[in-house]
Amino acid sequence: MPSSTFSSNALRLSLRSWAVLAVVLGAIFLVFPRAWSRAQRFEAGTDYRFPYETSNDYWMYRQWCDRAAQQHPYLALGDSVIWGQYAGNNQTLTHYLNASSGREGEDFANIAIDGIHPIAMEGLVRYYGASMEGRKVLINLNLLWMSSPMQDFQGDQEFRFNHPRLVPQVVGRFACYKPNLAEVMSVEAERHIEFFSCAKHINISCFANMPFSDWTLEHPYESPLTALGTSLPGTDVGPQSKPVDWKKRGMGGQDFAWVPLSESNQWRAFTRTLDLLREKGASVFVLFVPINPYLQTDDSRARGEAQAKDAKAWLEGARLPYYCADGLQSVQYADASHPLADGYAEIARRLRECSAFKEWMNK
Amino acid sequence: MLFHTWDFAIFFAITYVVYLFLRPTRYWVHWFFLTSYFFYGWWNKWYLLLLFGTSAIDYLMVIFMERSRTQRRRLLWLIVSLVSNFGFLGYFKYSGFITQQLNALLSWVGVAMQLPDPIAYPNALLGALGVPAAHQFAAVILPIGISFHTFQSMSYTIDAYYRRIPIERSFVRFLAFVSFFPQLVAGPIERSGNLLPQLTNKPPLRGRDISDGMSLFLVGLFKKVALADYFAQYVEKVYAAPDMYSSGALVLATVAFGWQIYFDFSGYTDMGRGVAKMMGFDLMLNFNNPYLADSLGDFWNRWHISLSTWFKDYVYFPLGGNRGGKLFTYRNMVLTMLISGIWHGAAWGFVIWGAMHALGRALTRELEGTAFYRDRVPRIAKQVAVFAFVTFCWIFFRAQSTHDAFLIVKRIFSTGWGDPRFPIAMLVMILGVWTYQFSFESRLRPVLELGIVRVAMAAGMIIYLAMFTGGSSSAFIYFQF
Repeated sequence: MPSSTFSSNALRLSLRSWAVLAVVLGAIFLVFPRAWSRAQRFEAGTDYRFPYETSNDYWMYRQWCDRAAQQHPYLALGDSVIWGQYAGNNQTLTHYLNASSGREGEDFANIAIDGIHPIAMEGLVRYYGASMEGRKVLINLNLLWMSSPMQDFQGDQEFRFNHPRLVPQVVGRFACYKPNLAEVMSVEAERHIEFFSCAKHINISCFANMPFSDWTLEHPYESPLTALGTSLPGTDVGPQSKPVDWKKRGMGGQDFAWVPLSESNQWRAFTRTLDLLREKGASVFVLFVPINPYLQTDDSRARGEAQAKDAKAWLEGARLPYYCADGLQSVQYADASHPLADGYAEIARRLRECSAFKEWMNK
Repeated sequence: MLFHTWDFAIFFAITYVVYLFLRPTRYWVHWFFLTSYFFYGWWNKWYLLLLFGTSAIDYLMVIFMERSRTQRRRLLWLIVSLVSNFGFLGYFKYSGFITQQLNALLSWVGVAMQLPDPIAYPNALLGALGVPAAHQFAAVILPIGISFHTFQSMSYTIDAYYRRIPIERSFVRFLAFVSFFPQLVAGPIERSGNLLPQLTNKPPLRGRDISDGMSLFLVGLFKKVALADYFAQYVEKVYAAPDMYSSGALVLATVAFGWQIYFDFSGYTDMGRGVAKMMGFDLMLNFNNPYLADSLGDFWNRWHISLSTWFKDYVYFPLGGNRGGKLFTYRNMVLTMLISGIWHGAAWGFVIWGAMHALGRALTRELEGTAFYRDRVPRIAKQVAVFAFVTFCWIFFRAQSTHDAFLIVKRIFSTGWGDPRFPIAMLVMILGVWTYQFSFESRLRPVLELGIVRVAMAAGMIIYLAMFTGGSSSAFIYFQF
């Protein structure tokens, strides 16, 4: 009966070898993301916005944030409203703000990510937003994320939502989010060890957002080494969704089940994000995303306005400057909250005229 | 709880720390018993009843044997133990299959009567005891690893009957021996002569044990997560619909399955042995580069060694081994292989697989003894032939039904190569592992054992696991046995 422990393989490491291995791995884990960042060509031209198809590539997002913070004095953080779901990259809010400034060095970088609700945004700022430190950040407040108990992560019914890798995994986890332990550990590893978020980035950018094994089955005769040399996707030039107004989409008569701010998880996350940004020394300006009043029932609109009033009161109490971008024309809305290109131009124009905004910019 | 999951990592971290703390006391065996039962109950707490029941019966039978004054009485207790073990195994593992076959036979001969589903028997008992139908069992569920722990427990009673081992007095220690979590659900099937003494005389725990255990665990983890689970993706796709694929894909999927099952099973064993080693325990080697075997006999000396030796000791030798002339030797060999096939599962595919190996072994044994085969045929040719035969047999082991298995064989020989869409990366990995194993059994072995090579290989494995295999947690193939 064979009793030798190692007669089927030679990989027997002594304690000293394990120590050497730990040092080697530590060095690789430290150096690899930096080396990869340098080797990979990342070009962010005018009106760059983070590509839609790589919305969950937070390592790349961090690279973009670093770049944006170095090159732009103002950062516009938010969801698809700031990002420009129904607009080309030269029709977004940041584009019009920059176009209307008329002065060098007054430009905004669009650091929004599609689908980022306030709970995910808190995670984004906390784990991937180091470069926002000490910057001027315009942040969108989209009350539509509080327009139903489900959107607000109430209850324990599991549902699919955007950016699960940014929401709390252990402390403060919501009952409706039930990841298994492997998912929790991999998310925590990505947040705290850059190597893992970089590895995730490679999967997303080089292997079409698939696990490596799945990619090889999809592309059996392609060399993975060639795929590693894939260049990064460029910015989205055109709109992500067809830019037509909400009526043409057949929307209307919406009755939102607004969650009161005092009970809202999304609102609490938003206020924590503001605190976090201020702790980082960032100067924050809050932009209330316009909620389309024309597509709601009267009752829904009234409750929505009451909620916005509460939010403004809180911001005033916290001495945070804000602007409420309501009052757009019906045809300037693509849906419940996304403006069309005209709407963005209008918001930019009004913002430029807003004294609180001017004061914040010049501060 | 699977070894390659975070659940196990947390379980083991707690188990290990408490074990180190309890080592100076006499409670460390109790701790093993508790943690092993927790480990097994993680899948289904009802499994614990079966594990405890079979262990308790075997423990008691051996005590009764010791107190028996006559050999006849000793034999009686052994028979009670064997009947209970085979009874449980037969009911949980084979009753559905046997009922199905008998019902088919009854229909074929025109008898209208059909045997009920095996779950009807315990439910009838529960019904008689007044348990309402809503609280009765829905189906017979095969407890994970039942064949492993039953065989391990049975080997104890058989060895005790033949007075080969000292009798274990501590019930808790015996329970810990049968349920020892590093090898409970998929082996290696440990003999009481190896494991019980280690559970009696606390094994020393040195730094070398910890580093060796970690090394074994890493290799096992890589085999399972990076290789077996990867190969499984191609195999599952092809074997799920064999009529959709031509010869090339079927051949390559079968080769990939050969490696998948090896990496899956030996990976589990490596991890289990590594976990045990980190706690100071030595479990027996279960795989020794089986695809480098140069004869079928050699293959079975390298593949699932703990099961092969179990069958050799408790089936082949008791049948007479090779003591009764050639004819009896072949009969015993064929019977042993057939039983080994049936051990793997209740399906005709396993029976055919066992029969093919039995036939192959019987036919090649004489050939292997000839001077021509021994001296003139190059070793590499023998190795390739053995690998080809073993791989061909895997078709019957892996196919979803015997119909599928024969269809695969037919299509391999009757369709063109086609475009198998077999990933280059998978091919590179298979060739890489093969080359490594060949090198390991060649003059290149000292190179592979250089410190720098070992560290580089370990680093490569960890980087690969970290970068490309996040979140895999598929079950091990051999759990079903």
